[in-house]
Amino acid sequence: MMSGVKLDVLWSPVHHDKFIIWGPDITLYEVARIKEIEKKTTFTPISPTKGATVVASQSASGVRCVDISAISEQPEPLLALGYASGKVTLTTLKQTYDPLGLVGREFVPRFPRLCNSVSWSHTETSMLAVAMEKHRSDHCILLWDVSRGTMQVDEAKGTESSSHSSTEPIKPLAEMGLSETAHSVSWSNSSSRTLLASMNLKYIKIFDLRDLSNKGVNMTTTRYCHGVCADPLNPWQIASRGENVICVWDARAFEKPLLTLLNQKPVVNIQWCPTRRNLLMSLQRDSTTLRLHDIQQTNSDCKNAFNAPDNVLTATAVEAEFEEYSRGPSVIERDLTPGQGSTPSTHPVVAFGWHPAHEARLVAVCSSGAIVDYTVCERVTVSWGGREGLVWSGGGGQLRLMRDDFYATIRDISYVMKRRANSDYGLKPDLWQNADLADDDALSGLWHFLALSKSLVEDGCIRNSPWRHPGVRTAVRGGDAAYRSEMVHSMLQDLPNRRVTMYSEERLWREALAAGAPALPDAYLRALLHFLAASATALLPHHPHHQHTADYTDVLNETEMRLEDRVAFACIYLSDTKLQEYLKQTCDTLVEQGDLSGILLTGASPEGIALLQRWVENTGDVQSAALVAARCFTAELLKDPRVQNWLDSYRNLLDSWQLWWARCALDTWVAAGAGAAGGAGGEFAGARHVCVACTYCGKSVAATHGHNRPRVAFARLPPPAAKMKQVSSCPNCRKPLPRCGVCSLQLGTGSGGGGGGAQFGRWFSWCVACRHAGHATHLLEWFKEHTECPVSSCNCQCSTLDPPDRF
Amino acid sequence: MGELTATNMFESQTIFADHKDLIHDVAYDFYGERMATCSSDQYVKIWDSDGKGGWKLTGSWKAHHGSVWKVTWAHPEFGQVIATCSFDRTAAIWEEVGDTAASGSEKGLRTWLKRSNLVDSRTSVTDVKFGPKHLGLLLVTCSADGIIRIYEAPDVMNLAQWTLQHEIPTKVSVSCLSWNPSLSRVVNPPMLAVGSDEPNTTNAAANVQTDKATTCNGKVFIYEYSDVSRRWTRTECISWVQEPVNDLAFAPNLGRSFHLLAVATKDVRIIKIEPIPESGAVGAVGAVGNGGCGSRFKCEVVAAFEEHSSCVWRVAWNLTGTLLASSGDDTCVRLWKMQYLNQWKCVAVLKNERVGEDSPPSGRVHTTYMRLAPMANPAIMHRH
Repeated sequence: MMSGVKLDVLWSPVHHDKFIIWGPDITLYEVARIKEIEKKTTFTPISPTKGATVVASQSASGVRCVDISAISEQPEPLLALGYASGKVTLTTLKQTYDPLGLVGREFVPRFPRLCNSVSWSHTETSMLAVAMEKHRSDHCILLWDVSRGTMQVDEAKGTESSSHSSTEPIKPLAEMGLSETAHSVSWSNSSSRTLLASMNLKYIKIFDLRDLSNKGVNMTTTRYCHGVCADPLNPWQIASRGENVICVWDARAFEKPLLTLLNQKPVVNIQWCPTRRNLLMSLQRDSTTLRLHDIQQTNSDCKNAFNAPDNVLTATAVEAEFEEYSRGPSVIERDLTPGQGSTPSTHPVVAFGWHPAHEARLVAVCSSGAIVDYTVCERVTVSWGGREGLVWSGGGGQLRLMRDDFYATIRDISYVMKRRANSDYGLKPDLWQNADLADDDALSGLWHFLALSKSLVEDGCIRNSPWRHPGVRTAVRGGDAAYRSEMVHSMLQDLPNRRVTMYSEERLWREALAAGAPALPDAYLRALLHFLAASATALLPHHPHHQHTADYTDVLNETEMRLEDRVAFACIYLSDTKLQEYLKQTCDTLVEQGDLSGILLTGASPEGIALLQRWVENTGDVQSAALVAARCFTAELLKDPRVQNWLDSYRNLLDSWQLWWARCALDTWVAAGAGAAGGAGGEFAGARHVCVACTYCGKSVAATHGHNRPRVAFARLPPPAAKMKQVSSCPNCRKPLPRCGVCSLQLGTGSGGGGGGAQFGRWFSWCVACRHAGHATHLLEWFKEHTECPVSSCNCQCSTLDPPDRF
Repeated sequence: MGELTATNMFESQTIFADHKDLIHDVAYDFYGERMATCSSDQYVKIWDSDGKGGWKLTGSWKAHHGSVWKVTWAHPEFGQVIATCSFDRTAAIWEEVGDTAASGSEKGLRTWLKRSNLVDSRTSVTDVKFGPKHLGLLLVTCSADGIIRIYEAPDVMNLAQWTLQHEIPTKVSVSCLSWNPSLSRVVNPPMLAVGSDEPNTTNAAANVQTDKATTCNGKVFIYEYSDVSRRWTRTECISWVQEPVNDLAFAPNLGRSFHLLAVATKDVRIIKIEPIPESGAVGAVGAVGNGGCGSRFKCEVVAAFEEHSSCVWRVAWNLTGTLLASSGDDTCVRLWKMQYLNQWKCVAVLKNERVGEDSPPSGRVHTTYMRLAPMANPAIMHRH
């Protein structure tokens, strides 16, 4: 529809909800939320929530260039239109109150020629620069002060016709470029009265207009001189284009461009983002995308440009590096497809305009005529912390964090696990106590079963079990029937006593019953009917002893029945081989599903590991698995790499939550589990123990008293030391122990006396960096006041190696 | 759509980070008590939690001569150490030391010293990550020219000395990498996943170049270290991901027998990587469903979400690997939660309130609201 026609989009610098599209017509649009637009008004949707209504429109024939004034008093956008005759007129597209009397004003050059560009200054809002074609005896850039003229208009109000025919037309404030051509002009908005111009197809000129009588000019020669514009946030940074090249310049070193960016197609428009530093957007001909150029400063100049806050904390770390950073800036490019929602437009973009104030917002016009309101979104970075903290970067240099109540609502397993860990879940002395803490049916059943199974083993009901918590499968492995029935009462004690009496042998009736069974809502009722039907068929030949031939699969397959009941039923009614088969099959299914109730069958055995592994993978609840392992597994089971992986993972979680007590208790249970069965020779026993070794002989300074060594060693020590039961030298080689860095006394082992561990205050404590040591209390006192090591010759900042105290 | 009630509306806390430019990365330390941010303004800032929900700025310095892309914390057993990487082609190791100028009472102010500057890369260093702590003090960097470098500090007390252990050329531009955090060294050798942001326009050409990997034009590669050959080798190329990758992250392993890898590309993908037992690898015929490249793993896409309209930027796992956060082109942060049996669903959308569009910039509210999706049907989750 509009292809081939030059189009442009311009936001009003003052009215943040208004923009114009300038093509064959100049149309003023107003943006509003679609909800707020009155029903009957026609509007163009520009984003899912916003629509643009046409406020006014007029023909643009003869108009060569447009700019919107930044005069804030104007109730409607004030446009400057440059015509082919060189005339510039001011207009508002809509008739409104005109406080400054600017509407309708005209500025005419002495010699008519094409007007190429108009530009309003945004700092001195009455300044209007006009660029024109060459005339041999006139200047090509005219600077008008529109407010100056108004006085004359006001004075001439009475003689209405005089404004045109007035003998003295308004004179421009300044004129530049005698007999030159100016292709475009633009103001540098961040510094006062600096005008940039592209001229004669080969120059970029910067005019300093602070002193109009003595205009400073800075210029450079380049083919890529068109569309010159300055970064509104960085006054020295200037961009220009030409053919398929974009150049970025530094006005302070104007000889050659900082950057020359090549593009595949001719660049038709470039604009600096008014809200974000160093961001340039360009549009190539017939392209569906806009290209963002993020200019990366690698020279240290940018520090000045940032006006870095001279905060106390600032930059003590970077010593001035005099390394030559000759690399200069570079650029990161990113292509955007402005589009609505998830269906980006496939039509080429013909024009775009940055919004003057809203962050990274722009309007783009496609060749289809569609208008798109688009916000260039910055990359949002997200991160999770160990304390359930989710943080992400919001716009404008903000970080956002979610509050605690949020995590409670999501009820993720991590939150649940942390809550359980805080309540000593899994660490209670009696296994069943953990069941209530779990607050979950499956886990509660698990702990109850483990407690029950343990008590059965302890009571001697289940004998010869290789595991401390055997399951049904372990128990029935022996296969003797008495044992089996015993188990029904012990392990499956809550089986309801159900007695079934058969009243009739009417076969049809029973078959009807069996057929109707699936419709019953209660699984137990259904099972009952299946049982009736099955046992009836078995009983039919009047051989009551052949009961086991009955086909109970329907009953056993009633999976809504509790597993305990099904297993108990199987134990009572199935033959040995069938029972084994049934148990194996059920067990495999449950292990495959990771159904915790299956622990009834597996117990804490290798099959149990497989089951818990599935549970971990399905739910992420490594905590329960690790705790069950720590509490119930034998040393042999603990060696399984899967179990080690649970334990390590859970330890890591506890570390991260800083739940040291829970972690310590876990390790104690694991060591106990490994030690109990593995005996003293087990590699786990003692693996986690820490001992202090003598630096001279390498033997533990604590492992001396009692059985290993005769008392002789002590007898040779001076009596007071022996009496104090505190060793100041190595009991093996009798070389002195290290001295405390604070009190200079030898560190005692504290455990030499054999009467339990020493008080914490007497513990060996040392810095892992400088390896200087001392009594724990002395060091605590010392580091309250100091950060440096107490040993006089050492400069180690021991205490700062830890993260800072939070309180 | 779920009704907006008081219970499913949350306010987020806002920290005004005062970075002068876009924040590229936020990283928590191991305990979640400290936070490091880095930005295009070339600064790195450190934030400490006061334990009551507040965050205090305790360090801020100009770390590089270019945009700082990523920041990462070392495990606390190595001290208070972070690593940063930048557009200025370097990666740096920083250690916190007490402010020597401050007397005993003013211990609040901390100084970060640059302990080492890794200058091997010829191009922008796009990602940096410390290795899992059971491997020692390892650091891996990747750069835009596609070289992965693995450094090791042989003496963990001396952070000034880093030796370049391995240099792995990938031949494609690498944008991100992630260590496999699995703790069991027995089962899993050290493993890295790297993602490439190589655009697909040169797809045909790239295929010709990578003669050895002609079978696969995926963008995610798995590298593993072999103790026998003492080398890192590419053991897998995940052909499910064909679009440029912006970010990827291994989930904390948490006792699973498989690994979960989240990939941010055109969509959010969760890929399950299951090591095939050695016996299965010998009988290579058993290698099913892994796209025909290698037989070390069985890879499977367990979830792919396209809700972030066109592009996903970052993915992050929570501590247990059961919640995934992703951010994308729609400027939303979405949370994906593992349901029973590895089903993933969107549980929350966190939207940055657009600044200034509807309200004047001055009266802008620093809040964000999230809405829980009705669990039953996440498909009709709307954008806000």
